Amino acid sequence: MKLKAKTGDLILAILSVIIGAVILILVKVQDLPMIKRDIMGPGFFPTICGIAIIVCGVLLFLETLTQSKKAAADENLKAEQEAKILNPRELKNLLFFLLLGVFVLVAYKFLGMLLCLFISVVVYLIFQGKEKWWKALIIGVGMTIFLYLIFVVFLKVPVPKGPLGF
Amino acid sequence: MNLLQNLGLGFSILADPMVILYSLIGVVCGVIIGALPGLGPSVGIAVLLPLCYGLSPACALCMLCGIYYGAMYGGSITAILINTPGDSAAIMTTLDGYPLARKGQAGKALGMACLASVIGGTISVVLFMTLAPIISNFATSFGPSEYFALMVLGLTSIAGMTGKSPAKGFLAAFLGLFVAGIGIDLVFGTPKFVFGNVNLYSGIDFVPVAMGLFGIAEIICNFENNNIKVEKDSLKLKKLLPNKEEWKRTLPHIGRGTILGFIVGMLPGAGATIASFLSYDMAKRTSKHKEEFGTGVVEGVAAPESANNAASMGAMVPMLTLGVPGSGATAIMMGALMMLGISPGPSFFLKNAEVAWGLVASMYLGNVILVLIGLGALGLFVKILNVKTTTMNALIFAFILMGAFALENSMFTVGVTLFFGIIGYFLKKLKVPAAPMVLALVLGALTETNLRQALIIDNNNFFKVLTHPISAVILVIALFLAFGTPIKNAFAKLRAKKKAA
Amino acid sequence: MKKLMALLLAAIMVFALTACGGDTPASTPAASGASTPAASESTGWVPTKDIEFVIPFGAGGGNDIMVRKMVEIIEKYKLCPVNVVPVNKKGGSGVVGYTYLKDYKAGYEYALASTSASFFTQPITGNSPFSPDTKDFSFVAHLVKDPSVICASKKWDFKTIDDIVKYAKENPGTLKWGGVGNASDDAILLYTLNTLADVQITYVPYDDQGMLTAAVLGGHIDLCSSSLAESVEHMKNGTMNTIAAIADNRLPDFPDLPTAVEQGYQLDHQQNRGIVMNPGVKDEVLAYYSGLFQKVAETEDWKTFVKENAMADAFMGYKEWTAYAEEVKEDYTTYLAMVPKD
Repeated sequence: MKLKAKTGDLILAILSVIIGAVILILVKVQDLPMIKRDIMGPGFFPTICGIAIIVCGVLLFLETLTQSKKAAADENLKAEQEAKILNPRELKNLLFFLLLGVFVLVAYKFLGMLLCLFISVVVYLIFQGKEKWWKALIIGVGMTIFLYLIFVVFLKVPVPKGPLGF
Repeated sequence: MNLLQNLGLGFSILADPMVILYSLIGVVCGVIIGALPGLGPSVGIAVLLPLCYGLSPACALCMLCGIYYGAMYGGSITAILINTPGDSAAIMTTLDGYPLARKGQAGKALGMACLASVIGGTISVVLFMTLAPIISNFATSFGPSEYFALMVLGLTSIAGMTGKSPAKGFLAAFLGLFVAGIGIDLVFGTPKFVFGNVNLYSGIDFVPVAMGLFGIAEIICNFENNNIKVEKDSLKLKKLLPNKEEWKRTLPHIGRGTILGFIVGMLPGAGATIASFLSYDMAKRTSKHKEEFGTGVVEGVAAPESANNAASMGAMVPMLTLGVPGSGATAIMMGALMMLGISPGPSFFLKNAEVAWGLVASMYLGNVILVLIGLGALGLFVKILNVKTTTMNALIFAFILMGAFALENSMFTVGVTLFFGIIGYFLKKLKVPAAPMVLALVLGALTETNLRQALIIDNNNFFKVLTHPISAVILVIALFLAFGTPIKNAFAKLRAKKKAA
Repeated sequence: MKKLMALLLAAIMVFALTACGGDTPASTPAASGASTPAASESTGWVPTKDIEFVIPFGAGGGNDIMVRKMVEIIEKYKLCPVNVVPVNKKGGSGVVGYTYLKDYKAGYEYALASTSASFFTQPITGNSPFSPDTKDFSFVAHLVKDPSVICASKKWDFKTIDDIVKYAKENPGTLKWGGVGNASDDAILLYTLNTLADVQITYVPYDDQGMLTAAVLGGHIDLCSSSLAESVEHMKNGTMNTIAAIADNRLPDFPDLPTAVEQGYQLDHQQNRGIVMNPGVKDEVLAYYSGLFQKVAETEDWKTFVKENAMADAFMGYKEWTAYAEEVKEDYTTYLAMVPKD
């Protein structure tokens, strides 16, 4: 995914305007008045935030365009604007953590949290870390024991348990 | 002199080696717990409380104080090494601590964090000792309108964190402010942006947000095998201690940070986080090297660290002299004290002189032990950096998720952390600073609550709210901080134009 | 290899630490107490696996301390053959905790939850899907009531409720009464007073008791009601003026402080702390737990605890509590109707 800094900023600006608008709409939909029973109501601050976010979006848009104009003359600025901001390797990392995170969120009820974390770590180490399977397992086991000792035994946190008893 | 007598009384309690042992245990446990993502002093104290059953009050107190102090320092360890603040007070430490680590100077950053914490802590113990009975009134002079003014002052420090693009900085801040408003309305009980989800009733806590925005976003970006090479000799004690030049630069910041931290810490509800924000901002403004802040300067670590330890001490003032806890951690500590049969309150220093001064003495002890452990164990901490990046990533990921769960025994918090982690990545790529978002989240709720309370008290007279004496002073300072530089610049430009004409 | 060493070192360090913390009871929730069945005389049901005691509030709070004390007493006197494990599940003023409880099937015998005022107020204000009655819960035992006191900031010369009412009548809208929450016992007390005395004292909601106390001490807030535990030190040292006790009888430590009722105002609403379980729990199970907590309530440890925390002992077994809960629910419905809405 090739994305230039300039384009990214513009998208962010537009997104901000949309988010701000959504906030204002939600304030109306959820019936949060600005003044209620003669005092500041629940809708006051969110409305201000919504408006401010829209304003920030507009300002950002203008800022990016001004930078663009300046960039025509300045080599450094131009390079900054044209820089590709999304790095494919980082995106792969992102995908891994996202999927593993969702896995933990979904499977913890069945497998227990520690087991899910163990699986996540091992999977990541093997596929992203390119470790040999036995090395990954050792690290995984060590980490799980460490987490168990600190959180379950020492801190007595009621970590969701799975079929294996932990 | 009465003060010295009392102090002597306090120190005599320390003569017992058991007391020193328990203080040591407290500090070690505190550091570990503080280092774990998301867990802070409150958790540490709450968890180790059962160990206090059957201990003499002196031992128990020293252990609890040790935990408190250790945890404040522990949070900065992970902040510096892996950009994941162990607790909210360490967020500011990441801004310069992490860049320092990336530059190969992790030892220096950690050393400075330790020293600043201890210096700040020690000075504030002295302040506490000499001023506590007198200044307890200060803590109660702040009502909702004064707090509101203080929050506004805190929010102005956002301007200092916006980096190159103010629009992006303020965008982050307002988004944070919006997130702060999610939950059940305090005044009316109406659900705001809750979408029927029970977990959102109490709003979104900033700790999981910070862990996501800082910690997870960071590990997503770490993929190269770029182990932060720690030069072996940067760990030698000589190198750990700042050199003359650095001392010259940082001492004033430590001094200012300590005083600021102590004062802010005294205000119930304000606490170490706000103290560290304000201190960092003040350091940046008053430094001759302000452009370097954020790239890895020791002042950027020293200022917030001294402030947050001073604030911890400050929070003890209202707790011990008024029976009003100054922060979450002191609230639990107060419960612990009551369990030990000690009731903090207005007559605390009179009725329980021995315990009170023993407590003060244990603070000194805690500081000393912290220095020894902090500097001594640095070698161990820094070894962490030698681990292969991808392995680090995996382990940090697991730790963060686990810490997020342990915060409230809820998977929802884990989800929040993950969500903000993903968002944090994109914010990083788009060069939107994350610190303003977290700051606004922390201050936002307090700002709104206090403003609304102030308006109720002053019968909707906004002008009256602004003109309470203390509030007015703080607001003027805030105005000056926010607009001072642009106005100054504008005048300078005008003068230049006149000259040229 | 380096990282393995580091991990091993760390593990050893943690082992050493857990040696300190490891001998506290209930540290291994794994295997249940497999040994001999209960020492209780009652026949019928006995637990055979660990019991979860859900605390729908945060660690360190009033409810949390109470539950943990009970668990401590149970362990100390070996009143139960299995482990009772306290679990904090805070959020939504208790709703998250009750949701967690109800994730288990109806009639589930191994999970309990504690209750506070929010158990009743949240459903009535529409912020909880669980109604405080036998439709959604089984009632196990009622333990204590939480008396409170009305306090006034030292900047006023108020000594009795009449003083306050008189001033309020002459200066409507000037007095400010602070409390925690907006539909809580604090709010209910104020609005009831407003109705009873036909005055207009303004309510200022706080979400933090500490800040509220500081505000009263500093004179920013004129009046407040807090639980006795929170006000005791201030009452003893005179940093706040105490006006009345909200309790069934005069407080043992403050025999000179008249109750509100004695002063002519029907303000005796107190917070109830009890225990509930999922709906449909069998009678013999309820009888077991009810008996268990009755034994806890009879110990000296408990009585001392209750006294030290300025609560009022008011133990009720499951049958009484079930009936009493109906009354409490009615009361709250009436009270909350007085809290102004739109």
